[in-house]
Amino acid sequence: MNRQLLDAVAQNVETPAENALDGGGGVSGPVTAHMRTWASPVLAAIGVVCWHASIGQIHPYSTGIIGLVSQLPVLWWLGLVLALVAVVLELARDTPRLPAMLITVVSLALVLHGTLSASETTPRFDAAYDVAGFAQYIGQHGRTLPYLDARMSWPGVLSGTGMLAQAMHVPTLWFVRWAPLFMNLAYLLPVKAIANVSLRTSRARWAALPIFLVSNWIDQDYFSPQAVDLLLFLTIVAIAIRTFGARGEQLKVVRMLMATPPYQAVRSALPRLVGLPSDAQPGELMVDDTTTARRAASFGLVLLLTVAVVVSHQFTPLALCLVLVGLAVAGRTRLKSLWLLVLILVFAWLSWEAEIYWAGHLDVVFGGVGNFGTLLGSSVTTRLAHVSSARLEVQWARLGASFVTWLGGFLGLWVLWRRGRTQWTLAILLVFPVIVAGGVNYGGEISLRLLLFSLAPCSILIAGLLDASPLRWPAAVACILVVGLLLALFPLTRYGNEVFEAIAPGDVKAATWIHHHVPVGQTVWVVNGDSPLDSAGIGRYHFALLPGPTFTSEAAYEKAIHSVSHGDWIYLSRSEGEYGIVFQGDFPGNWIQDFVFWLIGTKLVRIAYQTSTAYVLHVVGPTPRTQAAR
Amino acid sequence: MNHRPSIRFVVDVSAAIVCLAGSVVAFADVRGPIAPYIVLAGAVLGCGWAMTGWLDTRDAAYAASMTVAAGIALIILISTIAVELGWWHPVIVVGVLSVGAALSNGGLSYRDFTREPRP
Repeated sequence: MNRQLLDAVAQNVETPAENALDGGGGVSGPVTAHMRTWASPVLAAIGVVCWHASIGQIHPYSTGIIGLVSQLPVLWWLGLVLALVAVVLELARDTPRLPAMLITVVSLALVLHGTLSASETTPRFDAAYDVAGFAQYIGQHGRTLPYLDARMSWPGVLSGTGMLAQAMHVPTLWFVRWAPLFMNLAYLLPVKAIANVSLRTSRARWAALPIFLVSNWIDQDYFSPQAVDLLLFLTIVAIAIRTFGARGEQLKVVRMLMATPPYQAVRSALPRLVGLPSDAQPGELMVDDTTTARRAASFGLVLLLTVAVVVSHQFTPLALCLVLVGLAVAGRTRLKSLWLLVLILVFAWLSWEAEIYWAGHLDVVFGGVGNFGTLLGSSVTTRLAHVSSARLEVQWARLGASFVTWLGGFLGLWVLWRRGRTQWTLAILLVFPVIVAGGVNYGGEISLRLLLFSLAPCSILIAGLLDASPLRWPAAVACILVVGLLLALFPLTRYGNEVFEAIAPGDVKAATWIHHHVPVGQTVWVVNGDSPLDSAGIGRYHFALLPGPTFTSEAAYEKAIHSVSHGDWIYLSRSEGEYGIVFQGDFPGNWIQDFVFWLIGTKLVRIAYQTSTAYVLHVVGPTPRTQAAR
Repeated sequence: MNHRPSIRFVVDVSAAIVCLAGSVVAFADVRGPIAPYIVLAGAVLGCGWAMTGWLDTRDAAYAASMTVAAGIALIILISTIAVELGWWHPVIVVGVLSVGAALSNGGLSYRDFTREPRP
């Protein structure tokens, strides 16, 4: 039997049900058999029904400081539990069934990543409105505005969206609302493709998908270039390690280095030090029987995907380049020079289209070279500074979830190695993108982006803890603990920012009013930019920030309106107010209203338009600037 | 014909139909709740399958991954070229792409219908 198992593994044939949690397929009667057949899809369906029924009870525009957590009704939790039980029941089989796994995984994705889209009647997240606005502009005019925003210098996804939206006869905002759910479902495809050549058992391969869903709290899956690029990135990696896979065919220079005595000494000592066998074999499977013609076509596809990545985002091509370097050095792909091509394309694009950004921002781009720890550290510490104690719960939960994800990934790596299988491909995918943090100054979101790149390998490695037939319980329990922790933190980590990331319909209506009524060329002032104003009218107005940093006293108000001129407009919304409370210091809970009342009291402004959550004010009185001039 | 080619054949034919429908909807300026989805499916999934279907990938997840990514990348690349050239005709580009993809998917359908079952 052992020999058969080994043969099956070697040929990448999924092993038959044996020693399964369900007892190896023994069926006690037709009723039990029916239950076993239908239990997981039926539970998943009931879970979705419960989830759907719970959506009406969620009020995303009146959440507390920790987001939706306090809003989630019992039915929502029931839906989540049922979807989870359905997934676990299906994974309890040695060979989960394709249709049942699809149903259960989609139901879990719907509950976890569809809740915000379903409960919020207007798209969420101001950054998604920005992207939609840029895409709308390109769609309508067929050109970019590189001086307006750096993102316009990498217009690939924006122009693609603009083109599709025009052909579909819809505004680009059409893409935004359900994008997180669809992006997460799309990510599962390359994750499964990579898991299929990294893990041996069908159960573990499928388990990577729900683990990915549970671990992706990062909120970088909103409609954006980086979200689309991650899908392309993972697909390029999948092709590089599958169609062009190699199991340890290192470059000649690397082989020479590996033959040196110091390396050999380290290689024999290090594994023993951490309890690993020194004779472990490459864990990657070679599965794709392909012809030269197909390989050539696949290479063409890789080139297409690579170019699309390069023209769409600043950060992803660099991460891709580093991962490809790692794969080439470790001998995990036969595309040994692809990284060089990516690098050339990156610099070609910088010189061609992104020259406007590149020329004026060299310090911004490369000013942080070598400050690896500082960049990552500041990225984390800025998120912990100036926030209330309740808010700290969310931030610490996010840090905790990141730590658990990475810990789970490294644990999976260690366990698989102990079983005699190295996973260098996944290790490279996990670690190499982090190096980008040492070379590029990407701002406060760098740690989130890095974690985003780590999610796929971490999910597969955590699923690797289940990669044994029969199951090895210590590793399986570790997997359950990791996933349980991630799941427990998920509502806080994923929905914790909803207090300011939810964009209320009133905010959108006020923004739309501005787009329809404010004349071209005028200035629209905002307090912090957490608004949907950029969703249309890009380039028509001058958006400006009222000088802060606080709006807590008359002196602060006067300072804020100091630069305002007669005829300008001021846009104040719920999301801006909440963002100010959370991130901009000790703002009182109703500071937007206080500010509006004060402005009206000075007779400086009149309310031009008002909704239940937003104000559009028109500056009609003498401003401090005009008074000073007199 | 064994199980696997028959699924491929269904996918080929579906992709060809969606591409044709997408091009008709785009060119004819058809409006309605389903119309955008048809154009999107034709432009992304249909075009993606038109390119990757010829690779004969057996792993469904791998094939689907390449299909979605190829469709998105094609739209990104062509739209970027259109912006760079200053030749911006979204409806014509998406419509023609979909027609081309429909032809390719038709060829795939013919190949998968006529060829011998794979072992």
